[in-house]
Amino acid sequence: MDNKIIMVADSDPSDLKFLKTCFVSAGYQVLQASNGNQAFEQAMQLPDLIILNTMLPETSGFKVCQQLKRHVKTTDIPVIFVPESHGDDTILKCFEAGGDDYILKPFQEQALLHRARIRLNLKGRKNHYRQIVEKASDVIYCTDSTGRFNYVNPFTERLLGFSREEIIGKNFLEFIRPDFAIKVKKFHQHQVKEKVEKLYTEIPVMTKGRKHLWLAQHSQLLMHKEKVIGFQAIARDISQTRRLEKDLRSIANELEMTNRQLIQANDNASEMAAKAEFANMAGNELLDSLRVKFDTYLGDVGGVISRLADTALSDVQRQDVETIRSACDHLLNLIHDSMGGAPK
Amino acid sequence: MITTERSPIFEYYYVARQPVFNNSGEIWGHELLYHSGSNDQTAEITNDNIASLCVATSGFTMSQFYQDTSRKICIHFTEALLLDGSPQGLPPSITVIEIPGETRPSTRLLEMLTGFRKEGYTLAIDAYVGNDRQKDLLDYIDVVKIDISTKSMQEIQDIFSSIKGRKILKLANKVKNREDLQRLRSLGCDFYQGQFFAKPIKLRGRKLKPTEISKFRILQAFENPDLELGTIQEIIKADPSITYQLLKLLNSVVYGFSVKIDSVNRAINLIGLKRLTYWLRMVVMSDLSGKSQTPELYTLGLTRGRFLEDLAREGEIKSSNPEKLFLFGMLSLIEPMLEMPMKMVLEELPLSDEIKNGYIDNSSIYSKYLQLAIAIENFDLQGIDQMCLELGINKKAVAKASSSSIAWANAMVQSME
Repeated sequence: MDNKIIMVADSDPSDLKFLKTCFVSAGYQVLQASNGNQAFEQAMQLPDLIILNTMLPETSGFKVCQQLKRHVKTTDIPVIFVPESHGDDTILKCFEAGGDDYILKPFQEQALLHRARIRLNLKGRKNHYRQIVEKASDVIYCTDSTGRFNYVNPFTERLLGFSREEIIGKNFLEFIRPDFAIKVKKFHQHQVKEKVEKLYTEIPVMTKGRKHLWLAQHSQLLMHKEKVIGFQAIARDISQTRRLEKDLRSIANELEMTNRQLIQANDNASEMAAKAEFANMAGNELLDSLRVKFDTYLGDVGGVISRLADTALSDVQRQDVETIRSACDHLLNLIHDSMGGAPK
Repeated sequence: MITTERSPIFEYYYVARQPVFNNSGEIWGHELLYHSGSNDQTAEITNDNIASLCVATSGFTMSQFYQDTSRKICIHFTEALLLDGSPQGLPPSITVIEIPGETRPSTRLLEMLTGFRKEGYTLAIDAYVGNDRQKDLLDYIDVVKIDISTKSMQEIQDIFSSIKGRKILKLANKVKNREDLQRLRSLGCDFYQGQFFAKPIKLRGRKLKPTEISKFRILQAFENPDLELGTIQEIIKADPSITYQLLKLLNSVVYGFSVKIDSVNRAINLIGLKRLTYWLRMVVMSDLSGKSQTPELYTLGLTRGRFLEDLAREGEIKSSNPEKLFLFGMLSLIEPMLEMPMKMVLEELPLSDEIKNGYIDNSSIYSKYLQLAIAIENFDLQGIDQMCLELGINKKAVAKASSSSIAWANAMVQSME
């Protein structure tokens, strides 16, 4: 059995004894009080559950409960009232005083233990959720309907550098970077007016060290019967992300700028290459036609020389004809060597 | 800016662009091809009409940015778009309308083609193989485009000889190597396109989508047979994204780079009502969905535009034209809308120097009016006083212009219910 501590407070000694025996035999540690002041003192030992008679001497059970619920340390301790009368008014008063549950006399052991266990479990679960919020590395806070903080988690304190005491009770606009305060105010006024249940915003806030941070915030309206009773919000520091985004954007823009120039350069380059290609082709075509013409003309010259060689010539003339023939052959070879194509 | 959306307002779009060369190796023009933007090499087209429209609107304006001479821009239009006259939204002198190879030569289509040619467009038939259906189109076109990768040189020669004697230019597509090129040239080909010269290059641009409400207004206006210039003016003025796109379209060699625009009306007059109507319809149809909610920045832009316009109307800015100040104010938020430095944005827009300086030079008069508008947005009372004093403006007029401009802008962007 766990070592949960239960405080019992009753002015009737026999009832007090019954409660004590009952819980002790179930394995709980028990603190007891027989009047209001004692009950309050015992509660300072922070029990896990309080069983509180409504009609205690000196200070009534209702008053004790009210005070405990107002106290930061004891506010989370569940209180089960033991009302001295069964009237509706009394039961209502139990809840108004901040009680979590009630048990009527005469006590039934099993029912008593069962109810105590439920309250203890609930408290455990509540603690569990509270811990998630308290340990979160996101900003979590609540405000009333005018925007005054009534809860901030420890991460908020660490991020902003302000203590809880410095934040609670202040309006959240006081933490917004001044040039944005009016805009943010209008935004949230709009949220309240239009009852926008959830709203995403990115807002700049100021830390105690006058640094500004960007928060991405999901704020949710807390409603009670059509009336806005407050906000709760989760926010994350996105200053770094925003800086990176800004860097990325400027890199992307620089790239695009370069790309514009590249595309133009590329157009020019491909046009120059194409021009060279076509010029080259045109050159080849010119050379081809030149070669054809040379072939034809030199062929004609060759024919004339052959016919000339067949006529009666003097030795000197024959030597000249041979010189012309070899010059022609030489020229043909030269043309074919330099312009391509085989000699005939 | 307090943002309520994480995603930017602008959208990226992509288009691929491939040069076409003439027999001197000069770039005769560029073909624009649809590109979905995914990393796949092949363009993924879900709807041919939409793909054509994207290329004809955003793709066209972007490609123009790189045209420093009157090179042509070749755009493929589907049969449906040819029939509804869409190509007439583009400037005729540089636009080559590509007709799909499988188009039916219906009477209606031939009428449309005749009309296009009369207006000065160049018409090309794509994927020409010389079948009977295509031959019926030969009287209406200027260029045949032949995919040489699926044909032998003999087949190509046959096609060339079949159109001999006509004033039709021959464009060989998918030229892969020098041998192809040399043979095609010897056969008398006029234009060449293909990876031997240059592969298609993907271009990326940013676009601002029109709002649903302006799309709705435009479509509604088109239902009226007696469409008036005034109606169109109002619609364009109420949507910064359309104004921006229109200005980009006008930033073209066609309209002369020397032309400087200083008002929406000037822009409209420059392009003309008929062309503008066709162009607007393409813009509207190219996006399946517009912005269902008007981005805050659009509303704020409109408010600024109207505020400055009103101040000018009040006679406070004596030397200035209210229309100019409207355009200046409306576009003043283009930088955060596109998330692009103003300098880059202005490169693409044919705005007057007075307006451009207003964005860049803090000491210019226009800039001071803008600073006044910003001071009002920020409830910066000191700033308002100072600017009113510097500009010699009566604060009462400022207050009046401010409240009426907010009311007007809100009325312009209200949802369609």
